[in-house]
Amino acid sequence: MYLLSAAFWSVIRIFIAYFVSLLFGIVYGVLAAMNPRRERWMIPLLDVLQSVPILGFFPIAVSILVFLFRGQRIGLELAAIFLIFTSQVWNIAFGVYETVKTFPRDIAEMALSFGMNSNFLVKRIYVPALIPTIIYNSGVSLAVGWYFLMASEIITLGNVEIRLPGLGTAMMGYVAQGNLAGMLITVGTIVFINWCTQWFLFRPLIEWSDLFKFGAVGSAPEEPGIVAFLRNNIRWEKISQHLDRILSWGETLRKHQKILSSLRYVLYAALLGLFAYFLYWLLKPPYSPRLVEIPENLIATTFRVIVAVGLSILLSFPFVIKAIRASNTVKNIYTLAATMGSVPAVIFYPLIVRSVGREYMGVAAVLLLLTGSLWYTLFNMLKGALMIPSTIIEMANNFGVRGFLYYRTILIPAMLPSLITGTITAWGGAWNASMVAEEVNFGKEIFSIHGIGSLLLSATAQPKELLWVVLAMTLWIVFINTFFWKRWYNHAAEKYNFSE
Amino acid sequence: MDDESGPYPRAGVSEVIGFLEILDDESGKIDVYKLGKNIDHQLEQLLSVLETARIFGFVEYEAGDVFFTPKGKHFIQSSQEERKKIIATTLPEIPVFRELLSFLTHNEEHAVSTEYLDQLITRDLTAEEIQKIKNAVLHWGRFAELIWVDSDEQEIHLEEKEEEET
Amino acid sequence: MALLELKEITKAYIEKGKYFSVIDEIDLVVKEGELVVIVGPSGSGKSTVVRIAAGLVSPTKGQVFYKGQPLPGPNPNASIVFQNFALIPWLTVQENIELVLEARGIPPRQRIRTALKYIDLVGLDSFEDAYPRELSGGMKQRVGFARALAVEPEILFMDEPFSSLDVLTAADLREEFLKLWTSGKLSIRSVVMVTHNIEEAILMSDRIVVLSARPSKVVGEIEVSLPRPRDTHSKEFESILDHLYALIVSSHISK
Repeated sequence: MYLLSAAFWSVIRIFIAYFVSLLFGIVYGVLAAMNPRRERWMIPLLDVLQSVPILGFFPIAVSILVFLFRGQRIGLELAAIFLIFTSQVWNIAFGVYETVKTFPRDIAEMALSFGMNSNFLVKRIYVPALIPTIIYNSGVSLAVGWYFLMASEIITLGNVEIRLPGLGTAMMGYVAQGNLAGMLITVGTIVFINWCTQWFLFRPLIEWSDLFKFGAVGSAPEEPGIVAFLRNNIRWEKISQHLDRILSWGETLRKHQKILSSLRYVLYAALLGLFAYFLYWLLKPPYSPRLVEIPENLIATTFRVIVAVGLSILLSFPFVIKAIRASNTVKNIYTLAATMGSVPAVIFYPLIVRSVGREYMGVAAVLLLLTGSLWYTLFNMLKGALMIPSTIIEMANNFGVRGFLYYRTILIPAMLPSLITGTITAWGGAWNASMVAEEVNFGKEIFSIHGIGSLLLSATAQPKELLWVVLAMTLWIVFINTFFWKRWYNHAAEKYNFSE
Repeated sequence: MDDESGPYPRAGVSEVIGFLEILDDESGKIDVYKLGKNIDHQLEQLLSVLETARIFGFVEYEAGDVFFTPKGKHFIQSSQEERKKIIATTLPEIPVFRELLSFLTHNEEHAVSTEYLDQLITRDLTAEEIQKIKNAVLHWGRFAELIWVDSDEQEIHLEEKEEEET
Repeated sequence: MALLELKEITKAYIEKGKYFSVIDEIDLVVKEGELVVIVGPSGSGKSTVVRIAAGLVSPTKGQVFYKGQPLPGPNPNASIVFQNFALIPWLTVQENIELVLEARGIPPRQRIRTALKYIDLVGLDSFEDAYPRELSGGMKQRVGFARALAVEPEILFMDEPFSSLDVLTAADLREEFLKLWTSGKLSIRSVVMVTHNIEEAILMSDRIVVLSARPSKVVGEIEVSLPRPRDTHSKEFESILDHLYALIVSSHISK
């Protein structure tokens, strides 16, 4: 019974966060894609938010929300939902943005030439066209949401620890008691819920969403029961009317350009003032003596992340090679990876840390990072391997290009762009996992290792120190992303493609 | 129009030679519309090939007819080696090549980045058109064995003469 | 009487600080009852001319007049047939046509009636419920035609309507369109078509307008008064072909 209610709370949290992400992601993506002036700042911002370990911002959000709701449970619930939301939303927003951006020009011209107004266009053409991206990214987003569940339910605020009812808390409780059966049942529940959503919700939906792709050929996919159910049981007319009202409200707002633009300047000024005050507050002495620990901890975490990403690549290789040899196994590997990837590995972490003990916690941490990064390299490398034209592989067979020569001259170069994409996403995943990997709180005992994640958690009592740590980490990651990954990727994408 | 380095060749080696072979089959003179029919009315290709062959001085065009110049006739009846030699003597007469070659000879390393070609192509052309011209220029230069291109470094090099070998 | 008139239309854009002009002072008059074909090499801005004429794109300089009045935006009396069909993949044939009727504010009952009428007209009866993905290219373009005709426009623009189709299908669709056009069953009074296929231009047009390569100017016009259906092997046809090629090639060479 206890577990059932825990599962209920967790699922509610994840789905509320998901719906908010969906709404926010669509609005953000559409707004960014439709206006170049907005695009200039919205997309770099999205880029940064996507690449920075969101968990790092969690303590800040918690402090604010707890303050706003004076410590009531609703504030904590909102903080938890916010955390899950931040892990889900960027992915959806980015997908939406890219879809609107690459919207076929002739369709847009067709709409214009037949006199469709923007209201009609958004409702009848843009929103349906977004369905494939939204569904595909939703599957990913929900899986990611589970990953953050643990972290969101156990909230540390300085010296106080608050636990919200849910599966994450339940797991921690069982680990602390050493109740193995309890742990297994909790994990089982999570796996079961995940499997159900993937199997009964996303698999049929993904298949169906093919209908909405431009340029698709072949017979039309079947409509899943859930779509028919939604169609018949929700009063779309009403929703559409509401949407009309919102859109027309936006239109009237736009008519008052002058007020709007002057309002915008007021907003800019206020933001600037706030930012200036923030800087002043941040830079004002006294500085906490622990600020000098930042670089050292940052390097410790970076090191672990690099090891984890390197291992992810190495571990992905055998699967890729197997997949190329027998292309019919690819689907199996893919399904397996998708299922495994959606299992929140964090849930086992306390158990593992407990059993390996303090001395080897560093190794356990790398293992956890690996679960946050392996799926990304595997997915992307598989995708890359599958995109190698079959004539190239036949050519290699024909001319007896085998073994090391084959890997060095054909396989690796051919996969390089997707290998790098995979590495970049794996890098982000490993950083995120770092935020939970470096400290485990068993109630009375705290296991902790050196690193930016544990530094962050220990800084939650001092807002200023916390901000310094978060800022340092953000800048460091953004720096590496722009000066290392982006360049490398652009170079590889240009050189190794088969379009000739 | 201030064509400092124009006109530019846009068609590649095989296209031009293919066109000259057709012209040769028609005994050296053809109605341009018949040529059009011959290549399935691919207007774009027709124009670029005609233009390029004219720049090289292989054909002339007048009042709806295309016909060989003596040089064109000679070219099409030559062997591959001779064709290369003809092109090698023709290219320096074309402004964009002349500038490229003189830059390469006077430059100490006898090499230049392919981006240098962008500077030589001065008319207001779209990126796509410029790419087409660049491809044609490099193609003809390599065919004539006047230059070689390092694709990794994106550099054009002057082909060193190895006269003793022959 | 002139139905449509383009006066000194210029279109230019700026890319990476460089100024490109696509169309340079083009004048064009489309008379009532006329099928005008615009030909020119690719990249000659033919499609841009059509988009400007239909009011989808505003010119940098110059003005478009429809029935003597300046055109402020998309022309509600015009419709377009697109090269790549521009069909909505999640709507059936009938729904695709109903969609544009709905956008024009036509009530539901009448939408269905009109959609079915035009599906019949282009020979797609019994395909009403098919999705575009289930149709061949030729059938997709039939839907494109049905949709363009269903809003009962006065002027029809066609942007390379047959060039995404294979040769045989293109010939078939071309003939069928010409039959419809000459039958007088349609609401359209004039047609403007763009193509890079010279033979197609002569096969279809009353008048051919030849554009030069970018920046495009009108380099000549040819009246085609051959009786339909036209025979590509006839002497007259060849002489027009000859004339047309000469116009295009000499304009290009002299450049």
